[in-house]
Amino acid sequence: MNVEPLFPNLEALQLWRVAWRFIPFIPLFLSPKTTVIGIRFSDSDPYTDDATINSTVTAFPTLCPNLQNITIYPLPRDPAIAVAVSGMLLASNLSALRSIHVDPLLTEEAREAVFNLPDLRELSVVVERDASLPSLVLPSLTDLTITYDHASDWLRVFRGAMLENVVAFTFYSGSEQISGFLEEFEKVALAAFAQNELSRFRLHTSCTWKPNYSSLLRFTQLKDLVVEFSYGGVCSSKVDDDVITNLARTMPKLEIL
Amino acid sequence: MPCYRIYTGVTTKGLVVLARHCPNLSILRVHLRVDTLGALPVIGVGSGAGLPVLRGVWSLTNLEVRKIPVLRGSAFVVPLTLAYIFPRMGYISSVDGDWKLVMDAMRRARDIVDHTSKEHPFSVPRSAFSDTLPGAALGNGG
Repeated sequence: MNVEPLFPNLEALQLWRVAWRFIPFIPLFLSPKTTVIGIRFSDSDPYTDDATINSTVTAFPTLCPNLQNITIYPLPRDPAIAVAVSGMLLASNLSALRSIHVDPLLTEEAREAVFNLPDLRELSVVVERDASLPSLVLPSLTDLTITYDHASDWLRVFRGAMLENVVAFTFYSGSEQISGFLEEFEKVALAAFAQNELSRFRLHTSCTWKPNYSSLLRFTQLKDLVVEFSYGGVCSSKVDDDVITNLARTMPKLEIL
Repeated sequence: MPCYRIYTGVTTKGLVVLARHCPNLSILRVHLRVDTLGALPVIGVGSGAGLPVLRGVWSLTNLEVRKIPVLRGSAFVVPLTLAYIFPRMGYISSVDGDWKLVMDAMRRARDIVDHTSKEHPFSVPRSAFSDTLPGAALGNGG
């Protein structure tokens, strides 16, 4: 059934902490002029059924044939939802996409397609141990988010990758092993990227550890530096005056710390 | 990320270093040693009269303190220290309700300053201040 959009000229739909029960109404807001869809679901709201999510998501390419930026999270780790989100991306005009932030592990077909988009600027990648991970050949990518659950699985993203223009990294680690992360990142960045251009580095983990912040001191152009971790519901910050002094002296452009 | 009962943290001295080196800082989320925020940094240079020398971080508007407690007795002196280092701070994200008292005190102080002068009340030449000063010279923390 075709329904006239409520806002036929709406270019961007941004919904922040929206309730799941709002999902069926989302298509009402979309129009062929909509190029940006950003949806962040509420953490506390009762989760709705998969079928409602899937039917809504799969309608996006039809309702918004000119989609450029798509952000939807957090979504349940459910194979049916992963298929729906993957199908939505594959049915979109891939060459027009500039930003993709979705958190299910995409199907293999979708991963192959998305990881080779020459004009893509922003991407979120989910790494699962048992899933294949094609090489990322994304020469225009500037912003990369990686979510992983095991040990150093995040390093797989960089094998054979062409990511030389990435200047913003965000990591979500569910791994219980986090020590040495910053050292590993420094090695990867020194080998593959113009490290002096790095402007954002964010690492989110639930592990307690003692980060070696000196591994970040080469990134003198950082504006946004977040190393966030907690244990047992409270945080275990290891930043003291010595750390903050070193960071402040070497990163004078910091805006977020 | 700040939280309760964590004894590693940034003192007034660390905040002053940030103020000197990172003039564009707008959001700060580190674990603060609130016990060191109860006194302004004391600097043993110059004539000895007047306030210590510092160019505050004028860009910083947001401070996240989450679960760090602030003692009720400190709710007046902590805002003075914070206002000294971060003159434009407008929002403190916290779990402890007493931080609201801190924020209210900062707003009142700023209202007074805005009413009486366009100048930062603590603005003096930054050249006289060094972040290499020994910790003992920076109040009761370190």
